Amino acid sequence: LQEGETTFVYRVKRLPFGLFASLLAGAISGLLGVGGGIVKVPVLNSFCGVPIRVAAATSTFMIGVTAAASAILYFARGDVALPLTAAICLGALPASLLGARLAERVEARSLKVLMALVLMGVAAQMALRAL
Amino acid sequence: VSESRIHLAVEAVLSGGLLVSGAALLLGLLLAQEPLLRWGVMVMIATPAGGTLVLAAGLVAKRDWFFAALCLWVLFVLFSSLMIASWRS
Repeated sequence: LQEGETTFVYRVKRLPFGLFASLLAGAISGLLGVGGGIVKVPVLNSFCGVPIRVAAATSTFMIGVTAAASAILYFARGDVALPLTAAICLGALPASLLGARLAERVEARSLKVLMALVLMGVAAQMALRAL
Repeated sequence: VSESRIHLAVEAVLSGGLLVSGAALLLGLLLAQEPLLRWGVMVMIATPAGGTLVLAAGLVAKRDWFFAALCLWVLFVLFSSLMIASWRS
């Protein structure tokens, strides 16, 4: 991983655990309607030794691929509202590109703090919904 | 094949797919053309699959058999979804 002029070398650890966590992330995502990245990013970073930036990028790529499988089925069934999808995609695209560019500049520590805040926010939202 | 070349190829596929689908969706909305919207959504769905295909090809060329097999498994799942969708419709 290249950060400025420094190159960080890392090795992915506990790959079978990562595979199992992805299975769990998929189940939680389907069950609760929250993004799988909420589970994948912390697991990849904390347990598999993947830097936070790489974990976020890997999770995004994985979500795109796995969502495509179910999106094909929904699309073929005619369940996709095309104008609404187009409007949401066009709004989300520049913001996600901006997020990816920002992630290159922000310190890894700040990204971890942000991730922790997002996790706490999601947890609070889920708790409020349950009460 | 070096890892950086694989990354560049995947990035090119993802960026290209994003540009094409974004343009189709924008034009579809502006001109109120449903076929353009349909194509935009299809390209958007196909983009990650294209990225995975290029990644699989790169990993095979690099002789990284384990990760190449994982990529091919993902492609198999995507292809299965496509088959189920065409069988149902």
